[in-house]
Amino acid sequence: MRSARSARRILVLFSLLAVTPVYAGDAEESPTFGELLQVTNLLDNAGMSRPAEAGKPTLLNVDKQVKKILSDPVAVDIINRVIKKEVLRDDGWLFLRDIDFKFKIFDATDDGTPLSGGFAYAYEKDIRDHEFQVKGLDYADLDLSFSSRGNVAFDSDVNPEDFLDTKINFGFYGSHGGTRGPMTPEDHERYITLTQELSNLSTAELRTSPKKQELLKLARSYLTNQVGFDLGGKVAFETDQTFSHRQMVYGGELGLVVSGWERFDATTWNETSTLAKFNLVDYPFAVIRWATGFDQGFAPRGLNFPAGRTGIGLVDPQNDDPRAAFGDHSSFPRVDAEVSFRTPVVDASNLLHLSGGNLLDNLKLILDVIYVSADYRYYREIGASNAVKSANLAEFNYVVATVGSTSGPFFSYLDGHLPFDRTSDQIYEVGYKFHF
Amino acid sequence: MKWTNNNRACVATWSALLVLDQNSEGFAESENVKIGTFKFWVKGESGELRKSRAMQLATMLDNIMQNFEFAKYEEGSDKPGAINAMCGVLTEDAKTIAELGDVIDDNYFFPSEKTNA
Repeated sequence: MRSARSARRILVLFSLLAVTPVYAGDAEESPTFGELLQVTNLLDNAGMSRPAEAGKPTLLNVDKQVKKILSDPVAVDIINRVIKKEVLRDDGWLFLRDIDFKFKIFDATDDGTPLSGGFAYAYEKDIRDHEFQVKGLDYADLDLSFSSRGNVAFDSDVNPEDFLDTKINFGFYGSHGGTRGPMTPEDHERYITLTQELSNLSTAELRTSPKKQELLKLARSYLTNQVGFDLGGKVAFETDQTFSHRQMVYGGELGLVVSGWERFDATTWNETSTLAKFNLVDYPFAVIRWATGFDQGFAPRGLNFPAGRTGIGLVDPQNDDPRAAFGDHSSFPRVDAEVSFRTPVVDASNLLHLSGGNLLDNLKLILDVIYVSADYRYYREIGASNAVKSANLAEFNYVVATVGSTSGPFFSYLDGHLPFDRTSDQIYEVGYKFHF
Repeated sequence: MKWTNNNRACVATWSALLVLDQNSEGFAESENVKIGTFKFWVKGESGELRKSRAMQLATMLDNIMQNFEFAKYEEGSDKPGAINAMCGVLTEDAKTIAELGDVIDDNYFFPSEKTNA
């Protein structure tokens, strides 16, 4: 019995190896033997590799078995890597290279519903782009593009981002600033030499390298503030994953991003650029940075200006419009706006130093810098009927706020909902991010 | 493309991201760092606003390739093509720095390369 079980596990393992035939020659980039073994264990536990019992075919409950496997983070990570490294290789499936497809796990934590497997997809293709000269802009282009993205959960009730968006965009993008021109030949030579030398250092060595400081000082002296904006129109098909709610949206939108590259690493008020001094949103966080020793003084960051977008469109419901239940079957105009922001608040290694511990050189590498980020979206139907307003279908608010490091612990809070979300949720998420 | 500091496109990609404060890992450790860990990435942001931010960063990378690296466009590539290709990578959280390096290698010819044929 034991040997039969082992034989089945080996069979499953070889099946996996069969669909990923180049592992032997590409060992560094491929899942390890141990990782593959973990997947076979998962398959085994899910019953995928068991023999048929009398009257019960092996694949009778394959959908449940697949769901079970796709609820395991380790399996999902390995499967995504196999897809990325092997299925979407250059020598085949070329048309799939621009598609970002990955399995993922959905968790609607508000009602104790179990995790559900599923997948996310994103595809973006430029159909046409053309650069042209515009006075006052350093770069301008017209762009026609197609995109499609969404999240699909095997159990649609636990999809917190139940929104599939497929659209054609036509837009103008303009950018001013960024660099003050080409480096001098001497600075270019030094830049190439320094970057080549620094590329030999590990992360830990890099952090304390004087040559890194020399490089940053040299390169950043050429940076200037940058303003970018895009103005465009779109035709979009929006739906939930079951296609029970569907609508077309025809509209236009304007986006604005300001990046204060000039002296963006300043740590005192006098060093900061004029643009940075106008970043009022960053003032409370600048106080925290000053108080915790992250910055030497009060220094708002020009690089962390909020970015914004606003749009107006005509929404044409195609099916199961929730407004219809309140007597409104018509198309309707909608405005929407979004603001997002991210800024550093605390260097955890500074805090550890202040606490008097020196245990903590190793922890410095783990904790790193803590950031606060937030994204707020607002949708409003123009001229909504009283019935639609009373049913809370005229306005939608959605906010996501996160505190955490780029690679380490984080805390995330989500409130509100997007137009197709079934429930208005308050979702808290605590987690830990790893670099694999 | 193999991630190696013998290829100037890899070093140019890594050093540009270091200068722009998007990534602070060493060169070797940066290969599989994901775009979703970059400083410009805001969790929960819409695709539209993320694309605006990505275009901004892609334009800066193009500035650095031209003005710091003195790179030219490869035959068959041009500024909009290079910027939009980089933007395509920068809008996907699971893409890696090495994949961004691939795009930069495909679109730019660096002075230290022998031929752009």
